[in-house]
Parts: sequence; C-alpha cells; structure tokens
Amino acid sequence: MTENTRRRLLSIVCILGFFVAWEILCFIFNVSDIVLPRPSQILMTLWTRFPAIWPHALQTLYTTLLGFALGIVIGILLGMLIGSSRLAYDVAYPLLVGFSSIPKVAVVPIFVLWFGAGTVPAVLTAMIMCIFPIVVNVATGLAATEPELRDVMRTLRASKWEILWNIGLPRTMPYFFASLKVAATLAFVGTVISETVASNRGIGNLMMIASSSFDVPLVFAGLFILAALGVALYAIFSLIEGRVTGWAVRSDNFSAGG
Amino acid sequence: MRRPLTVLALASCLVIAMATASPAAEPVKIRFTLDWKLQGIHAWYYWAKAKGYFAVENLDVTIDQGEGSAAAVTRVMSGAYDAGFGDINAIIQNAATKPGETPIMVYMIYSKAPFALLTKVGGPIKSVKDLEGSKLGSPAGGASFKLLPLLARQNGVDYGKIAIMQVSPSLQEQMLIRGQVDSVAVFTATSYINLVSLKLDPDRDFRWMYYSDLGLDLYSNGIMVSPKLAREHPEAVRGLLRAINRSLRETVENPDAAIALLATEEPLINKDIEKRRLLYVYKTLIDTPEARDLGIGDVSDGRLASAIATIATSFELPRVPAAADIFDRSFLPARVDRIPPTVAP
Repeated sequence: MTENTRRRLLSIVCILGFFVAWEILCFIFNVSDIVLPRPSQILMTLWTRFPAIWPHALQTLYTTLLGFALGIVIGILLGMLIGSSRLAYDVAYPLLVGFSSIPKVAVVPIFVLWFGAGTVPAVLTAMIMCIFPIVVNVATGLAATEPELRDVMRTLRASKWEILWNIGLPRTMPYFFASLKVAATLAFVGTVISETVASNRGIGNLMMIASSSFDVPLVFAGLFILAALGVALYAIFSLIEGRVTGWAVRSDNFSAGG
Repeated sequence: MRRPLTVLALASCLVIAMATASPAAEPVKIRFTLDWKLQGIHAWYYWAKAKGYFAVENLDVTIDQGEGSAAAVTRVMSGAYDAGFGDINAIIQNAATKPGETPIMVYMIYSKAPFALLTKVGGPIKSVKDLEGSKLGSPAGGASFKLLPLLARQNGVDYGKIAIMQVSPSLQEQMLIRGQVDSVAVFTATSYINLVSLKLDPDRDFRWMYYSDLGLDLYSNGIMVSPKLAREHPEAVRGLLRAINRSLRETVENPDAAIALLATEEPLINKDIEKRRLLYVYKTLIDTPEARDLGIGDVSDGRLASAIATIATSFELPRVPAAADIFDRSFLPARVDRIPPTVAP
C-alpha cells in the first residue's frame, strides 16, 4: 500500500514538475505569449473565459462520443465478420487498409459537400478514425482463439454462433479494450480535424477563431481542454477494462504467488 | 376490411395538408456559407438574422462558417448550400470548365480585390521594379501568389529573377519583419490585422502595393446564389439582398453595436480587433470610388470583362466564360438604397 501511494505521489510530482519547468523557462528566456504562453497564462485564460469556452468543449465531447460509439458498433461488427470468415478477410482487409491510409483532412471537405458543415462531418470523421484499430484488434483476437477450445466446443455439438459467443468474443476482450484506448484518443483527433475545417462550434473552431486574432493563450487553452478530455476518456476505458478483462492482466501479487 | 378506410383517411389528410400549405407561403429555406471562420467582416449577416430582416422577407436563413472564399464556391456548387459569401475569381475559374453549374454573383461586396505586396518602409523594395533580384515569400495556394507571374508581366518585371520562398500564411508577416524575405504577397484584410495583433503599426511602418494599382484590376468577394435558387425563387434572392444591403449599411454606421451583437453569437472574438477589421475592410475594399458611383453591389461591365480575361489568361482556362454567367445585377435593390455610408475616420 505504501509502495503504491509513493509511486502515485512520484508521478504527480513529475507531471507538475513538467509544467513548473515550462513556466520557469518561459520566464527566464522572456518568451512572448505570441510564441509560447506560460501555463499560468493558459490557466488564467481557461478560468476567465470559461463561460465562452465551455459550449465549444461540450460540442467536441458530444460529437466525439457519438462518433466513437458508432465506430465501436461498426468496428465490432466488421471485426467479427473479418475474424470469422476467410472471404470477408480477403475482401475487406485491403479495402480497410486503403481507406485508413487516406489522410482524414482530405476527407472532411467531401463530407461537407455531402452533408454541409457542422456536427455530421465531425461525427463521421471521428467514426472513421476509430474504426480501423477496433476492426484490426477484434479480428486478430478472434483469429488468435485456441483451436483446441474450438474443437472441444465442436465435440459438444455447439453451433458456430455459440462458439463465437462463448469462446471467441471473451478471448477477444483484451484486444478489444486495447484498441478502445487507441480509438478514444483518435476520435478526438478526428473531431477536431473536422471542426477546424468546417463547423460553427467546437474546440477546433475555437482554435481557428483564436488564431485569426493571434490569441495564442486561447489556442493553448483549447489544446489543454482536448488533452484533459482525452485523458479522461482513456482513464474511463482503463477502468472498464480492469473490470471486464481482469483475468488477462497479471497483477504483481498474482505473479508473486504463482 | 379496414384497409380502404385507412387509405382514404391518409389521402384526405394529404389533400388537406397540401391545400393549407400552398397559400400560407412557407418561408424559403436558404443555407448560407461564409468564406471563413467568424470575423468582424461577417457582422452584417448575423445583424440581418438577429434583427429579423431575413424573416421580414419570408426567408429562413442558416449561416455556416467557411473554409476559404474559393471553397465557398464549391460548397454552393455541390448543392449543400444555396447561397454564400465567396470569391468571384473562383466562380470565373469554375465557370470555364463547368458552365451552367456555377453559382452566380448577385451582389459584389469587395469591389477592390485585397491582393497586395507588403514590404517594410525602410526595406529595399521601393516600387514593383525592385522585385527583380529580391526575395519574395508567399503561401503556395494563395490567389496573390498565383497572380504574381501576370503582375510581373504587366509591369515589365522578369518573374524568373524573383527568388520565391514558400511560407505558411501564419508566418509570412514574421518572415518579413525578421528580414528573411524582402516582400510578401498577401491578402490585405488578413495581413493588416495580423500586424495589428503583433502590436505593430501597419500604416506607418509598412508599404502596401495593391495589385489593382499595378494593372491587375480584379473584383473579389460578394454574395452568390445557386442557379437553382435564382431560377426557382427569384423573389427570395431579391429579399436576401434587400436584407443584407440594409444590414451592411447599418453595421458600418453602428460598428460597436454590430460587433457587440456578433460577440453574443461567439463570445471568443476579440472585439477591438474585429471592429478594426470591419472598418478597415469597409474603407479599403467596399467604399471605393466605383461603389460610390454605381452603389455597393453593382459592377462596371468593362472592368468585369477585363477581370474575366485576366483570370482566363493567368489560370490558362480552356475558355473565357461570358460575363452574364458570372454576374447578374437584376436582383439588386434600387441604387439609392445602395449608396455607401460614410464612417467616422
């Protein structure tokens, strides 16, 4: 227990130290706030202009979560299809790799031409950003199921669906949650890309408006909010992962005992 | 045997709905795209919406922020938007390759194009002739840059002797100030305000050489509508222009109130900077001698024809589009209503 608290304390001190060093270095070298604002200036901006900032933050959070949820549903379905069918694997994989290699900045204007600016392109961009890692990991997890387990199920006359539900999907969970943590951060990137190009609200839009009047502390305030939202989402999924796939993570106590 | 009854009920509902809908005149829905993120120069659109001028004309206008004045043209072409604030030069380019699909400019706002060369007052460039052998910075995609070869030819400057450096739009003023380039090809409305934000004096310390004073006399941004809207709802287009024309004049006469209203739409804007942007653009690009003569919104046919020819040469267009496909003055409000107001200096 004391070991644990000491570890946590050390990490907090290191993270705080990073910001303090940033503050001090900016102060010593007299860096102008147009080049790099100090963390204290950014926090002041966040604090004083919070009423104006928060509708943007809320919009970004909303579109990201919506895009992320759609991405998870489509990602799991596609992953299950690819992981359990040889033909689907051969057809969908090259398409998927090709599609995910396209820079998303190039896709946003196309979405805008189809649906107009605003929430829809942001949701779609967040969705396509996070589909790829989810599909790949779910498919890999299914492919990595031990054949022995499948054979046992088959001798028990289980149907293909029952094997997938009882063996395949539980085995896939650790892969799936690993991909969710990547996908959650990517979803934010997707939303913000879309918002900088075409939207009336959102952190991306805030940063464009701020940079058009050289309000650099406000740009950084936007970045801070994004970082905080990303960390929060990551933490939430780590927590769920610990609950659902605890069996796959070897804790220190366990390895000591075994 | 209930199905025939249901069908009958549905049909009668439909008839009633159609009968009541047509005489009540539903407001015409117009999706309107701006050229860029929210700035002081967009105050009049939000003014018209907030004061109910669009509603008076029986219009339901939604305003979306944009990603560039040329992209506004493609947005209207795609059908995602019915009208917008965009660049006439982009319309000319698109009209050459896709005639009949391009939006039509119906109200010219920037009757002087904001393309210019920016140099330091103490720097080596005194006139456009001095460009030879000097270093010039510009973003690669900018219209100011694309027109540069033509500008050089018009002024007898050897384009091959100018050392061109590609710079990002957010860095061009900094590069000039640090002396890494001798001049930059800019969009005045953006550059002027960037210099103000950098706490410099753009009037005293810098020299602005407008392309329009150097033989490249072009028009720029204005209100454009899709051919479909102009054909099916000409009265809506007239109403849109009446509302915008009225708001533009009221905005310029009450800049503080207009910017305050814009700030309720987006509290993050810097009010001082956006007010300065609004007035600067009005004085330099909108309130021109031509606008005082013809009224805001109209163009001179001769100047438009030569602008189209200029764009056709400098962008090597496959054909020269007809002026009638680019600009249509038939929707404009009466000239007495379009006289530019004078603002306090």
